[in-house]
Amino acid sequence: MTPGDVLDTLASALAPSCDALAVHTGFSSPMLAWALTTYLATQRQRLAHARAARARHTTPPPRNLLSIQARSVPTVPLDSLLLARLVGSPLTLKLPRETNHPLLDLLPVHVTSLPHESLDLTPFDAIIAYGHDATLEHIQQALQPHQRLIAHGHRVSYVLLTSTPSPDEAHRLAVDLTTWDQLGCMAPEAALLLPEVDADVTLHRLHEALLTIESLRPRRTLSPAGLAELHQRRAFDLFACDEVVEGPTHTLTLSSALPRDATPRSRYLPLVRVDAAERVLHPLLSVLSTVASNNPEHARTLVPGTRVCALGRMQFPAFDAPHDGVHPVDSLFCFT
Amino acid sequence: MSFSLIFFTRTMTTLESLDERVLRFQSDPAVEPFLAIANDLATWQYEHVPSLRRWWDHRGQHPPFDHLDDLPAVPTDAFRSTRFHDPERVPLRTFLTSGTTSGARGAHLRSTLRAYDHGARLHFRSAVQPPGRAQWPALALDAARHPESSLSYMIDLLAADDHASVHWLLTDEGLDPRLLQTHLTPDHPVVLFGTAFAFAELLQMQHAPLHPDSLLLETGGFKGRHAEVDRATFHARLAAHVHLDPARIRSEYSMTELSSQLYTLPGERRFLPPHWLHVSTADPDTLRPLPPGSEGLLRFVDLANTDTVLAVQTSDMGRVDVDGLVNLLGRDPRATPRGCSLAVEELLALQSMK
Repeated sequence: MTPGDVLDTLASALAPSCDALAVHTGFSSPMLAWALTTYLATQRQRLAHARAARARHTTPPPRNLLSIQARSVPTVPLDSLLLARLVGSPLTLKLPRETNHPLLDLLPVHVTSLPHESLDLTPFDAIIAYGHDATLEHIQQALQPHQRLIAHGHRVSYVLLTSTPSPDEAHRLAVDLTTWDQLGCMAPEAALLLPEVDADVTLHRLHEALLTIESLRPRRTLSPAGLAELHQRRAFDLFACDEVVEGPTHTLTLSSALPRDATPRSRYLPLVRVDAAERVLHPLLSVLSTVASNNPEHARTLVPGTRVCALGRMQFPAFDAPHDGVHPVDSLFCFT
Repeated sequence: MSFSLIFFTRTMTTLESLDERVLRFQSDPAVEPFLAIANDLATWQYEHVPSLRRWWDHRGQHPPFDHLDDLPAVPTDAFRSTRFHDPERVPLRTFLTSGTTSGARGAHLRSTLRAYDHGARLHFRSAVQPPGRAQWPALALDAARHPESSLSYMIDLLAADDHASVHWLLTDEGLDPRLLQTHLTPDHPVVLFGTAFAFAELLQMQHAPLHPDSLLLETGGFKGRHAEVDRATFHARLAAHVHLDPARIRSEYSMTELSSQLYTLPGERRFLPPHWLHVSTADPDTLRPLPPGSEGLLRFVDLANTDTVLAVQTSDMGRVDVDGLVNLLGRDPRATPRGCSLAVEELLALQSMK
């Protein structure tokens, strides 16, 4: 089966299931349909590119793959399944105990919910793991020398705007914000605005773009606690920030300092004026996942080793992207 | 007389007259409608409290209001980023919220505490009915050394009203075992206020049984800092520990941003608010008012907040029953999932620990 066949199979399994997935996950059906379609298209494009480039890796493919999942990382089961199918490996998903991921009804995988200490790792020669750094260290210590681990710990992502975004760039940034409702480490913590950026125009354009996208692909329903947190944060920021722009399901703030504490990630983006982005990003180099920018070349000079992408591509990393500034997952495989 | 002095005198008089009206209403709810006082307080606060004016302008709502539920309530987190007070007045006291991970503490600046004091005494006497000749140890920090603690202020106030002085059993290092041995004895009834955390610590310590007429008042809840413990289970364990009838253990609910308190009634898990505190619920999504009996985010219109913020929006889920009693449902344990990302501060803190 070619990678294209794998993607076709996956697409045909997922396409009719978005309504059911929406019920399970809380994401809106239009958002799910769009995100899954875009995800599969992205992977198709990347795989085609890799094949065309005849990229070769000397590492033999795994014979038995284990993927240890974190909560609320929606595409991870797909990533793992796709990788396993590409190399013809069986796949075991280890899920958080309470997770009942609806994709699992559609995917040909073996699922375990055993706690880490009860999980026998010996049958697996390759393990992809997402989770707390402590969890990943625990797994690493339990491995034999022949077992390979690609570990993805906790990371953060940012947007860097080097010039005032055009309406199209604002739209693509809004895509980054709304895809998977800002869950996961590839959703931006904040957008950094260099001095050349007109902050008011940026706020206005992003607000308009979010209104458009949110009307087409509504956000998911939040818990009362999440909603209460948003209301509280909005009130806090009204007095703490230079400007606050509120939409029905998004909040944009403008300030000259990074938020002191965790912002409610979903539905919220602080825009922060900075004199020099490196002052913010350099201390975070070891924990950066992704930096998206309307000037990726400039961003790459600031954060070497970090995944840098164009606006609109934050949530769709390729297999060969250095996801956490560490190993790309394609180091497990050989594309020929 | 300068303009500023004239202005200052006028506002003093106005606030004092409002204070007087609230005090009369606290003593007798028949003197005038709640909404009439609320609207006059709202007007005064709109004119004199700039941060509140900014909030109401932001919401596009201004006094007078047709209904109490129309008042735009200020979320409690706003007390962390701004100060709600009349800048022409020197605060008598500043109450601070407990610390958060971000370090920013909310502050409630008070230039008058007359309605607070009067209301706290009245409602405690009527809702709690403390035992006679009780002593007042407290699992709280010394009010004199911690004037920022609204809990300690309230305990001190209520003890004085009961012709008692407070023995503070909590120090910066925790509960003092020597003081427990001295003040928790079966020889006389005690009125014992404390936070749930302090009572949890008490459960780990040895001391004599309490006099059967004693009354324990647990306040504060756990708010996610400990494993969630059902309040009834916790009270049952506490009752067994101090050899008291569980009905002698009650709960108090309030917060730094309010001036009024709610108490559970004996054998009842629901809270009784005083009549000068209007409690309702708001839709968590829109913050629009919900009909009585609906579960939502608790919001309060507190007439005793005369000089600051009349309407306060909390993050606590609750329900107000038709009999006016309030069910506290706590915070939704399903916090917004953040995926595999941590806040920057958390990450940097973890890095620095390595």
